[in-house]
Amino acid sequence: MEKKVRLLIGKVGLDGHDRGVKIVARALRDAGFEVVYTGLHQTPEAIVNMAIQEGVDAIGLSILSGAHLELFERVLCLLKEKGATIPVFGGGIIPPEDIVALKKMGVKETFTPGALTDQIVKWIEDNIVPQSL
Amino acid sequence: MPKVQAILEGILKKDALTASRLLRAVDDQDPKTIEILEKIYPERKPSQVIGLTGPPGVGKSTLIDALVAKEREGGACVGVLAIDPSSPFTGGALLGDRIRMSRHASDPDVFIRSLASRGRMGGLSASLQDSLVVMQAMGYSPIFVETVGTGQDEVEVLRVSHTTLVVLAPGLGDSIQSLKAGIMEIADIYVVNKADKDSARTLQSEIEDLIGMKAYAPEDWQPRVILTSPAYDQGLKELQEAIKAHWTYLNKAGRRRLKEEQIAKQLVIGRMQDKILHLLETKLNHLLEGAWKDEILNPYTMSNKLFERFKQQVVDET
Amino acid sequence: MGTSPTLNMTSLSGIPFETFYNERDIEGFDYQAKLGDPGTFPFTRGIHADMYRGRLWTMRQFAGFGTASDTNARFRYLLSQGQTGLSVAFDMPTLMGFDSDHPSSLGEVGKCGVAVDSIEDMDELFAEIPVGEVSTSMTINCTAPIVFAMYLALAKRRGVPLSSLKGTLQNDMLKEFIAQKEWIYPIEPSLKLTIDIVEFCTNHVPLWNTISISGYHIREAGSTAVQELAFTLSDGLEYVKRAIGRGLGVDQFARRYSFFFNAHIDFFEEIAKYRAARRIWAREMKERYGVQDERSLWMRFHTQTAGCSLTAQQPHNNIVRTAIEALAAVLGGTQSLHTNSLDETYALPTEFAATLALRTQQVLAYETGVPSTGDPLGGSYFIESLTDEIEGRAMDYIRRIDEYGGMVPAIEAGFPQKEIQEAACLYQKELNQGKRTIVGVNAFASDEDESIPLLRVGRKQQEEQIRKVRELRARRSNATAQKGLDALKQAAEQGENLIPALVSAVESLATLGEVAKALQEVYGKYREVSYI
Repeated sequence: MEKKVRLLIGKVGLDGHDRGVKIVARALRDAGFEVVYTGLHQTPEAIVNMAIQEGVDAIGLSILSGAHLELFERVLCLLKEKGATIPVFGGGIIPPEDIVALKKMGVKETFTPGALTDQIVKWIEDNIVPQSL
Repeated sequence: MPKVQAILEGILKKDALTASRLLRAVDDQDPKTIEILEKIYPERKPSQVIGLTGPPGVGKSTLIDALVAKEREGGACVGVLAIDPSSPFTGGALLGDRIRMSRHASDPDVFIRSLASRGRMGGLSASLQDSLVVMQAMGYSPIFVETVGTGQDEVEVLRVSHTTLVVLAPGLGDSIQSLKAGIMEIADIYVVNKADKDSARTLQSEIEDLIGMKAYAPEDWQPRVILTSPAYDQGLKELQEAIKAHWTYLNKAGRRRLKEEQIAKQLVIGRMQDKILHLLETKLNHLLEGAWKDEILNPYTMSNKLFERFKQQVVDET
Repeated sequence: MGTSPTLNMTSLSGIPFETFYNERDIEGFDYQAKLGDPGTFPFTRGIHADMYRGRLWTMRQFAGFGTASDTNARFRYLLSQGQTGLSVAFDMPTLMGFDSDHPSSLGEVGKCGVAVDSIEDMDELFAEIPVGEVSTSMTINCTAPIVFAMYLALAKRRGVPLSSLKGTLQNDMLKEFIAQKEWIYPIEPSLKLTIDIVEFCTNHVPLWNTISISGYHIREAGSTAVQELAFTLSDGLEYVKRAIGRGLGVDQFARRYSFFFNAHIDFFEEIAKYRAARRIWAREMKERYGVQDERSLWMRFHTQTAGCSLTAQQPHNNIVRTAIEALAAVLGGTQSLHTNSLDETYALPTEFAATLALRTQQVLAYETGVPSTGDPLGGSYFIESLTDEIEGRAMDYIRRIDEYGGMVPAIEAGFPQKEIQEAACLYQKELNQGKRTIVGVNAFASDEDESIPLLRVGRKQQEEQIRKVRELRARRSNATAQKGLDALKQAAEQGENLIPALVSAVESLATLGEVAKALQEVYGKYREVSYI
C-alpha cells in the first residue's frame, strides 16, 4: 500500500476562530492527505501529545489571537523534549517580522490571511515526506 | 535485526514514540512490520477490546470520551482506535473523532489513534487488528474501537472485539425495524444514548422486545439495554459495569479463549485474503497473458477451466 | 493565480444578479406594507423619521490592548479626536475566564484586547473617564456577567448611580456556540447568565443595552448574508422568549436588545440585508410576542466592516474596502459604526491606522451628503427586489430553526454550524477556482513588498499584567475573597439572579479567573460539538 502523508491540523491557544483551519483541513483531505483535526482551544502540551500518538508527518497550527510567538515556541520546545522530530507549520494573523522570528525558531512555513488553500497543499507536497519505520 | 528488538522493547515499555512509528508502519502495511507483529503478539496483555458501532450522529465519540473518563477515575490506562472513512476518490481522510475526546488530549495514559478506513468496508480499517495487537502488547486496557458509523452494515466489529456495543439514539429517523437485519443481532450491550430526549424509553422497549423474541440458554449472555446521557453523566456507571460484567462472563468456562480464537481466525483470514488475492491476481494476469491465442474469446469458459485447475491443485489436496 | 478577474454574477449569498431591474421585479409592491416612511412600521426604511438629521450614527471604534492603562490612554486619545462612544476589546484570557497568570493564558495577555483580571484593572481602564456620562460598549460574552459586575462595582465605588450608566454588553452566547466559539459553561447555564443580565438591567440599569445580538461573528465564520441575518434574528427571538420566560414583560426589556451586523463587500446585498432585518424583526415581534410599544419593534444595530474581507496582501487596498463597506452600513441605516483599520490582518491597529479608519467615517458623515436623506435607495427596483429576496430566504431559515424547536435544539443538532461551514467552504472553492476575485490575492497580485508599520504589544506588558494580578492576590484578604466566591456558588446552586452576588465577589477582590472557575464548579463545562 502506498504511504500517505498524515497531518495534525489544529487550534492552539484560546481564540475560537476555526473558519480558516477547517477550510484548510478539508482542502488537505481533498488533496489526498490524512488529516487529524484537533478541535478548538488546545494547549501546546495536548498538541504535542496528539501529534506523537497519531504518528503524523507534520503539525499545522492556526492562531489568530496574536499569541503565535509564545505558543509556537512552546510547541517546538515540547517536541524537542519528547524527542519527536515533526515539522511544524502555521497560519494566522502574523506580522512579517514575527514570521522571520518564527522561522528562526524552527517553524517551517507560515500562511497569512488571503493565502489560498492550493498554496498550502503545494507546500506540503513539496516539503513533507511520510515517515517510515 | 537489532531494530526489531529495540521496537519490541519500546512497545513493552509503552514508549509512545516507538508505538506511534510502529502503528504508522502497520497502517502503511510496511512488510517490515510482519516480523515485529509476530514477536509482539505473544506479549499481549489480557485487555478487553470493546467495539462500538451504530448509525451516524448517535454520539459514539462522546460516549467513548465519557467511558474513558470513568476508566481514568479507576486508574486504568486506556486505548482508543477511532475509524473514519477515506475518500474513495482521493484517498484523503478527515479524522475528527478526537474533537469530542479533547479532554484526554494531554493525558499520556490515554492513547488515542485515529485510523482512516483506507478502502476497507464494514466500518473498520485494514490495519485495525494489527493496531489492536500493538496496543494490547503495550498494556492498554480496555481498548475502545469506534467504527466509521455509516449505518447498518457495520457488523464486522463483532469479529475483532471481545464486547460489542450497538449505540442508538432516539429520534434519529431510523426505526430499529430497518436496522435489525444486521446490526441489531450483534450486540452484547445495546446503548440508548442521548437518553435525556423524550423518546428514549420507547426506543428502549423496542429493543427489549426484539431481544425478547430470541431464546437464550440460562448460561448464555443475555444482551442488556442501557440508557446513557454523557451530557448529564447518566447511565455511564451502569454501562461501565455491564461492560465489565461481559468481560467477567467471557473469562469463565474458557469463553475468552474461544472468542480470541475467533478473533485470531479473523486476523488469519484477513491477512491471507490480502496475500492470496494479491498472489492470485499476479498469477492470473500471468496465466491470461496470451491465453486466448488459440481459443475462442470466452471469459466464462476460461474462468471455469482455471477454477477447476485451482481447486484440484490447492483446495482438494488439502 | 493565473485566473483572469471576473464580475460577480451572483451575490455572496448566491442570489443571481440580473442585467437590470424594472417595475416587473417588484410587481404588486405595496409601499405602506413593505416600506412605510422612515420611522413607521415595518421600519424597512429606518427606525427614525428624521434618520441621521436627528442624530448621526455613533462612531464607535473598538479598542483595547496591553494593560488597562495602555488602553485607557488610547480611549482618551480617541475621545479627544471626536469619537463619540467607547468600545472595549478584551484579550483572550479575559474573554475565556482565565487570569493573566494561568498557563492557558500563555502568550495571549493583552494581545487582542485589554487584560482585565480584577476590579482594580477596571478602575484603571476608566481612569479619568466619567462612567456616568460616556457610553461604553463591551465586547464580551461568556464572562460578560463578571466584567459587567466589575463595571457596576466601579460605578458604585465612584458614587455613580446605576440608573445613569449607558452602554452595551455583547452578552450573546448563542452566536458563540454557533460561530465565535468562546465558551465556558454548557448552553443552558450560559443562557441563564445572559438573561440574569437582562433581568438585572431591566430593574436597575434601564439605559443599558443588555444584549447585542450579533451576526458579525456568524458572518466572519463564513456565513452568507442571508444566514447571518436569519441566525441572528433567530437568536434574537430566542432571547425574547427566554426573558419572557423569566417573567419580564416584552415591552420592559425588548427595547434594550440591540443588534450587531457585519458590513461585507457585496455592497447592495448588505444594504438590502439591513432593510430586510428591520422589517422581519418588527413583524415577528408584533406577531409572535404581541409587542405594544413601538420602540420594542425597532431593530437598532451597530455595524462593523468585515474583517474577513481584508487581505494581508496589498494592505492599503483595505482602506478602500472599508470605506465602501461603511457606506453600505450608512445607506442601510446603522445606529453606530466601527470601521476596520488597514493593518488588521497583521496586528491590532496602530494609532495612525485607527485614526484613518475614524476619519473614513467622518468623511462619510460630513463631506458626502449621504446621511442627509433617510433610506436614499428606497424604491430602487434593484434594492427592493433584493430586500424581498433576502427576506424570503432568511424566513426559510428561520422557519427551519423553528421546526427544530428554536435555536438551542438547532445548535445541538449542529444545524447553523454546518450551514456556515458549507458556505465558507463553497466561498473558498470559488476563490480557488477564480470564480470570485479578490484584488491583490487572486488577481492583480504583485510581488512588491508593501510593508506597513505595525503595533507591537511587548512581553513587557504581559509580564506587568501577570505581576499585577499576583500582587493583588498577595495583598488582598484571601478569606474575604473566598467568602465572596462561596456566596456566589451558593447563589448559583440556588438558581438566583447572580448579578448581585457577582458584584459582591468582584468587590471582595476575587479575580475574573477565580469567579469563572467558581461558576464552572457549579455549572460544568461546555464540550465542543464540531463539524468538519
